[in-house]
Amino acid sequence: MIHIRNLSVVRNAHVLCVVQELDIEAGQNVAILGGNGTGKTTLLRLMAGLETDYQGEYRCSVRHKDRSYVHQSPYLFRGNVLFNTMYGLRARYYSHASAESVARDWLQTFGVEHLADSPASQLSGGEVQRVALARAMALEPTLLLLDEPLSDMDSDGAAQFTTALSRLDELTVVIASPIELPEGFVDSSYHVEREAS
Amino acid sequence: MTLIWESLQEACRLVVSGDRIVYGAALRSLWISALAVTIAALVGLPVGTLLARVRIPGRRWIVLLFRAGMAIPTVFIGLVCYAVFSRRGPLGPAELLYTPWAIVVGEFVLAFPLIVSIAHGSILSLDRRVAETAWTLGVGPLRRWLTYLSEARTGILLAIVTAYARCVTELGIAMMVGGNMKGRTQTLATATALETGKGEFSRGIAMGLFLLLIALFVTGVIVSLGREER
Repeated sequence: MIHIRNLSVVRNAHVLCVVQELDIEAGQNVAILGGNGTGKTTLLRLMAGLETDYQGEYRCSVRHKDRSYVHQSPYLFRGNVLFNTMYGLRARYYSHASAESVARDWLQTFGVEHLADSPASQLSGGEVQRVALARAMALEPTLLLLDEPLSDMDSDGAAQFTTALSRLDELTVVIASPIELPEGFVDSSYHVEREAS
Repeated sequence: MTLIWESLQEACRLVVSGDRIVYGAALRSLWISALAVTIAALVGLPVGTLLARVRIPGRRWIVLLFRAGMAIPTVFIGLVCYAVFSRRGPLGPAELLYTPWAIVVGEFVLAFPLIVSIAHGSILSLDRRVAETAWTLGVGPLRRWLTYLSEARTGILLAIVTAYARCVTELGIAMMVGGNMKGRTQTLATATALETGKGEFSRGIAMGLFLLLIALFVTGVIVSLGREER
């Protein structure tokens, strides 16, 4: 599914990320672990298609429309929570009623269905993260790329996240995290190291 | 002082009594500027977004050109439009000179760079995650463009309101290509100048009051937009 060899992302003579060898198979849950500034986010952005300038070998067999990426600090658009959760679904030509039904279902999975009509600007950090995850997962992607998804979440949120992951079959998840993830969250881990420029 | 006081009283009487000349010029100013700004927004917003989001060769120079366009004196635009629409000009056969449509074209030229420049600045200053989020959620170009406009709504509205305020109060274009013809091409600004020149000071003040009301309304909109931003 994802195949990387001798990859490096360099910008303005500054090495952002170096990966010697990484293979991710379909259906795997993989953690990208590393401290601050090691290039976890850059690697995830590359997989999401947001970074296109790199050297080395990189292949991803998943089509762009089947990938979902959630930022470390997700962005919610103006409007309410329901509008945000329906956003990607509407772009995929779901009718308003079916998009709303799917969106509400995913909001419920993340325990934020009661916030559906609340303005996105009034949410806490943890709520924003849940809504962004619901928005990304509502699209039922094949490849889900999450940048530190648990950073603002409480234990309930983490449990809801695990439940949400189990709802999608044949899902491959890549999670960037500065610390080891709770047991059972991922199948394997890949450590990225800081590279001297 | 007496002259100003008496003129003010007379102006208020003209406004309250619904003076045909005053209201005619006011309505004409409003629709001409509304049409010019609408067309400028329809063309200018996509151009502004394109310049902010797409890497095209010479983009910096194009942006600079539009910014310089914001400072062009209205009398110069009027002069160029006059040359274009005059009998011997390239669009002479269209016989647009001394019609409201010529003023619409001139005001479009005035509003267009303003809307492009402000829209470009507003969309350029959007959080990088706006475009990235829309793109990673698989949204197509048209919907992404609408998202940019929605997220930069305050700046976009500011661009439109500012362009409208400039158009409705401008004198140079309306005077040169409209000809200030009573009942046909007279706008508030040209009528104010004409009536004052004729010694009809009170009628000039009445029209000036209308212009002031429009300016106050526009300022109110700008202030409320600023409040929303906070």
